[in-house]
Amino acid sequence: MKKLTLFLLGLALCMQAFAIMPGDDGDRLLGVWEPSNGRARVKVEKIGSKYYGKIVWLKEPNDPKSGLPKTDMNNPDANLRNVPLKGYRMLKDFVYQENNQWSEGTIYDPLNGSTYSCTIKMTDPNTLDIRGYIGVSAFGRTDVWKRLAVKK
Amino acid sequence: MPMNLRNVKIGALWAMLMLIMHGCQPKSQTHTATMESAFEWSGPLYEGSNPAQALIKVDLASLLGNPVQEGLKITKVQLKSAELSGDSASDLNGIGSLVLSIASDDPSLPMKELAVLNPVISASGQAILKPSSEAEVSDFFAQKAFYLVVDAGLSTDRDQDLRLTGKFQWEIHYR
Amino acid sequence: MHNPFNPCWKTILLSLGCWAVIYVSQAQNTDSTKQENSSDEDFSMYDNVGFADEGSRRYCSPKIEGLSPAKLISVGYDLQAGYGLGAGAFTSQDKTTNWAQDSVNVLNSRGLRLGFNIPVISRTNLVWQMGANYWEQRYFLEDPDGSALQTAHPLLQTLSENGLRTLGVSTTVFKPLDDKRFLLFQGSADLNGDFSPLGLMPLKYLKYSAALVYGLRPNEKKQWGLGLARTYRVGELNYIPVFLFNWTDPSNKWGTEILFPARAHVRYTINPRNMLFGGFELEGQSYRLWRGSNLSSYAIQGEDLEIRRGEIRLRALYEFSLKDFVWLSVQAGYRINYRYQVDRLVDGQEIYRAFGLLSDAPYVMENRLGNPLYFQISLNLVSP
Repeated sequence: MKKLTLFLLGLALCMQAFAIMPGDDGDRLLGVWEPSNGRARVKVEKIGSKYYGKIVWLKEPNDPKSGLPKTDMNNPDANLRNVPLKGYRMLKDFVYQENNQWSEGTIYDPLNGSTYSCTIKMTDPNTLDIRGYIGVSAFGRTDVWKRLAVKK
Repeated sequence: MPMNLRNVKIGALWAMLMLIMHGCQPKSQTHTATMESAFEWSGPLYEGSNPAQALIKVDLASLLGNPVQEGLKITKVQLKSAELSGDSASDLNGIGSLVLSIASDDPSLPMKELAVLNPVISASGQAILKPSSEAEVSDFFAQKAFYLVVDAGLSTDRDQDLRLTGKFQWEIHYR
Repeated sequence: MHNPFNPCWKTILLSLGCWAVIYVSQAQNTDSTKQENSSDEDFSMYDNVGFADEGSRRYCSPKIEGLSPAKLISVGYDLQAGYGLGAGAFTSQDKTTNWAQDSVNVLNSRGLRLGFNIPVISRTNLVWQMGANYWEQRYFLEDPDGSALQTAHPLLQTLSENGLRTLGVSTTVFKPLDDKRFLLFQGSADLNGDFSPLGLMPLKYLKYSAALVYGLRPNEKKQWGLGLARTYRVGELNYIPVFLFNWTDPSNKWGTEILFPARAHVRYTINPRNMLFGGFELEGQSYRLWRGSNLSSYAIQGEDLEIRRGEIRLRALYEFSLKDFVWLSVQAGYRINYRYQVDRLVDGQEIYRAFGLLSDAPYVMENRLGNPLYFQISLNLVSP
């Protein structure tokens, strides 16, 4: 009986440890991800309490006309058209909600300089549903991003 | 009193009231505030974009150079100039681009790009970034603090730490 | 005395040890930008990565780079300038009544065009959209000498009083098979006729159209395919092959948007928010004379007549963003009348001529239309 009590006490301590584990569920978004078109790879990092995703690799990194690395040439703000695309934060300002969702963020499409409202849902640890929309979620499109790992 | 004259008098009274209310509003003032901040990257650093951030606590009295009057409202803030320099002239070697952004923990404030220099010509050891003509950041200055983020785009890997000092001029409109 | 190796203490120590290990292993910095110096931050390694989930696949996107944006909601107005309309001679089904040929001037024909196309499922491996549209065309007729319309011809009477309308629903499914191949299906069901905006026709007069295309998307700037369509675009039911070809040149300036023979355009991109197009589109449907004319003494609606209307619109278009996702589309061109004949379709039963190969049944009324200039403007909410 004593042994059983002590064992259960130990088990309860372990379970409590899981419940008060430090670290943020939202940090599961951190890592490198690839959009479905395979043309870019995006690294998610945290600044303050929000999550941001920046382009770290481009399938076609250089502008075909100039041969120079691509920049944000479709940005509506003319003074910011020189920002390099490699390193550009296309996902911004995501706040972790519950239930594997991050919201309040935006996604930027460098192909046309448009910014869309965006929500992220982690459907499994290696898969994200990134939904960009205008106004209401119904007017939008979901893209599935997959987590990347370095090949051994 | 004839109807026409009465209407004219009422109209004139309203106009005077509007004029008085407008006149009594505090006039808009402008001040250019200079801010300095350090950005540090710990080596080794790799080719590509490397961010560093600084947490800026908003101290309006020190920014405006005056004690802050009650009811003072910041109406517009824009970055007028941004300069980043290293401790030595060679610190900017290997940096291909610099992008300055502003961010906040407040969910209602989206991150904004403020200035860029691409390419970086490092001979002088000073990088003068081109500020956005459109980014307006008064909402950030209404917070207690905000982040300034500098993304240094390295063209080659770098073993040593990097430290840059940023000097920023803000045009602050308030009343 | 307590023995530290007593089984009771072992359990307690083990539990505490577990807890400590869990705590230490899960401790993380809350700000990942301050840790840019660990060995997995080498950007060059992003060339040598694969999916963490090894069973994952890539799928091709329904769009290519440079394509004009898809319209979610469209509110537009179409106007055709003046032209001549000659209504052919016609004999009633019971042979008791005849009408002679009658020609009129169409001062203009015009009407509202509403369109609606919403994604239902929008995922990497399946895109499904549902849409609806309402088009109307009202005819403003006068006698050839410029005086007010005076005609006994039942076709001209109903066109003048009621005009023609289309109310339809549509569905589009894009199914990528892998990162290069896809299937595209479009289907629609339309009610077309001289019915009033508030009074519909029975659903047995629905006209069904569909197209199925098998396509390839070899790179980000090219997409092509071959398929088959059941269509009313030239007024009558036909089964025809279709050819899809969307392409953008390396400089992102020139491109094509082709779904032949329904439409084909060359595109010039001034910038991603301003685009010019030149090309053509086939329009057409089979319109039932359901309502007839209130002023006519003869109930044309009992004759089971349908106007087989088909036209080719040669046009130049300018589409541009007013603000963000609100775009304006302006087009001007030349409408060439292909067909405006009338068939008798008893109970809606189709006559399938296959361009004369399967049937050469004569039309009950042969009409002639002139070819006017036309103009169209629409305000659109476009898709991400």
